[in-house]
Amino acid sequence: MDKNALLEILVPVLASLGCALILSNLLFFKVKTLSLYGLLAISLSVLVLSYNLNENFKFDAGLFPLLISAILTVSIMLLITSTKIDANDLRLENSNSKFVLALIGLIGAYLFFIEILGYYIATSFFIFTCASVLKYKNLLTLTSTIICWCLVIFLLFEKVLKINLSTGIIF
Amino acid sequence: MDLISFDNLLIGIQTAISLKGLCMISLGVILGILVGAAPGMSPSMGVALLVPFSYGMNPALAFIFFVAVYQAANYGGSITAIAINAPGTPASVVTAIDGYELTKQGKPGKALGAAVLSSAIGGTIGALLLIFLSGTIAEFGIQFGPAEYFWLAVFGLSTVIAFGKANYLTSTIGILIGVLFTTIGLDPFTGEERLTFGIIELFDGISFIPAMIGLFALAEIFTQIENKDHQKNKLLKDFSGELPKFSEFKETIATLIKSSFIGTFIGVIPGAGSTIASFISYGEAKRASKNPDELGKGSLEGVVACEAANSSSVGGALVPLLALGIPGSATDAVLLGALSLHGLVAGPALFSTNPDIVYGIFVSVLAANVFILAFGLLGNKIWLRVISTPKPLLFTFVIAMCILGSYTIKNSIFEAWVCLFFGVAGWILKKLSIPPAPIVLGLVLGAMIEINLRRSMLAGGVEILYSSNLAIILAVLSLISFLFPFTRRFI
Repeated sequence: MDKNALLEILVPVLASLGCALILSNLLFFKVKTLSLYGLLAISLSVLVLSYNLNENFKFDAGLFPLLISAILTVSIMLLITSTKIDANDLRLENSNSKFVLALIGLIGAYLFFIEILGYYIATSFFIFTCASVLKYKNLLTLTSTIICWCLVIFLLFEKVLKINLSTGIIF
Repeated sequence: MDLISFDNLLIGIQTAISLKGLCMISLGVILGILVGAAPGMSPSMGVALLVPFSYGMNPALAFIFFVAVYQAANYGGSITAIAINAPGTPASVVTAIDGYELTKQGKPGKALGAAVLSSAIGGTIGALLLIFLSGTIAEFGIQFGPAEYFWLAVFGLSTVIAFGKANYLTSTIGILIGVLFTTIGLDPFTGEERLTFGIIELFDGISFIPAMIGLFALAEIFTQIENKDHQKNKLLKDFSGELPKFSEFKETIATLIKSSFIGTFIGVIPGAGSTIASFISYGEAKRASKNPDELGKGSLEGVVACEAANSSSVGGALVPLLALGIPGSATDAVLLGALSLHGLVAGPALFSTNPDIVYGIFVSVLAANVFILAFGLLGNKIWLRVISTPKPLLFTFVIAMCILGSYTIKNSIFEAWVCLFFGVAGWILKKLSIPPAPIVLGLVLGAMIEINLRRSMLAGGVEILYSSNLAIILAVLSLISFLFPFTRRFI
């Protein structure tokens, strides 16, 4: 296997490993250094990628990212060492990460549906679901606020700023 | 070239003191006070959320509006700090020490009155120093070449490490992450693709505004939800109270003026910001006070010192932004992004190419203080009612606004994904004690560092970086700044 092919495999492997470490840490382990190892793996993947760029580019376009990612990798290593020394710093402070991850998933779904359902319908569903997830219980206020929001956004963007928001592909 | 001239000042007055200008300033002040007063929302978050709405606006009016929001948000934080001991902004944490004590003693009106008066006067002093200093520094900045700009950007980042709130190592990592993101896209010199993974939307690089909205707003919301802050709503009591008497306020005038100067000069240092200005001014007020033991137990002098420094730091922080294109604070970094959204570049050239914007900003900072005084004295009870909006509802609409704002930048859903990506990254990095401000400053200054470094290299190699006295001075200042965290324990 030649060097370029090896480097091309190494980049996604390191990046996936880093993301997996951070995600599993948020969900289960909640140890600060583990997330730092994840960050280190991502930084290493960028370093490998920049090295590859630098090798392939005729000019110095790859040099700056290579330099920055190298310093970043060293800095993260130093941070891992200093965090290990400081025993009080080992645990992540919060343990409500699953709730936030679910909310991030909800926002992701909202972004996915904006282009399918259109901005106004997707936003109405999102605001209703998000406020309910955050335990807001006054349905009357919530419904009236959603209607007001959609009206204000429609008038401001479509009529004043002349910016057309997504209408979706279904309707 | 005379950058500060009476003619240009007249242009600024015409722009800001027109009907549209005054409407924008008053709207900016109202929104700014609400943003500052709402716990969990910061001035940078407020301005970042409002930037996309300026897309179709006249740039001069847009910046008049942003500066009014920025100035008012710095004051707004004191309202909830004094009334319910829930500082709206990090800088108003110090205000709460004496302000809330006064509320507990049944004198909230005195504390709120002193806060608004000192904010308005401090902000005005900051604005006057801004007008004086930025023109002078901008004239000096005309002499800058690539080497000087390279060192200036390095110096800007090094001061974040030296004076920032975070540990030097986490600040450094934050800056490097920000700088690394600026290398995404087509290379500015050769046009080669860098770190784009073939995604066409990334060819122009990462858009500043969605990234900033994600880092400042979404990440903050995620952190607060994780801390279950959305379930904590402090109850507001109805209160009324008399304002401070002239004789009481007169005793704090010396502290007010001194704190305003401290605030402005600390504001000029990139990365230092209003929080550090408030802490230092409070410490200095306590040191110089005739009754130092009174501070901390409900002293007007304590409130005045913090608020004057906090508000005057806005003028100070705008100095390096307008004169040299280096943001003095996180909110200034957002303003720099907003300038690029309108196709403008901050720096000495802006004084001559767009005097309506630069001088409009000067006049807007001054005028915003008058509106703050009026709205602050008349509307404290109203602000307290409005900001008691339940947090689940507030957070939901802030998230919706983040997505809408990012989406409308280029009318592309990709920008909303960029915002979400930076929101998630900012939240995870915050958990690792890496704050968003260094990342944003890295994002803003990264391209300036790379382009000027490579221009210098093309012009004649590494020695170009040390070819002028000014470049050497800036290099030495950067080195001192980098070493400051290690040496301050010996000072």
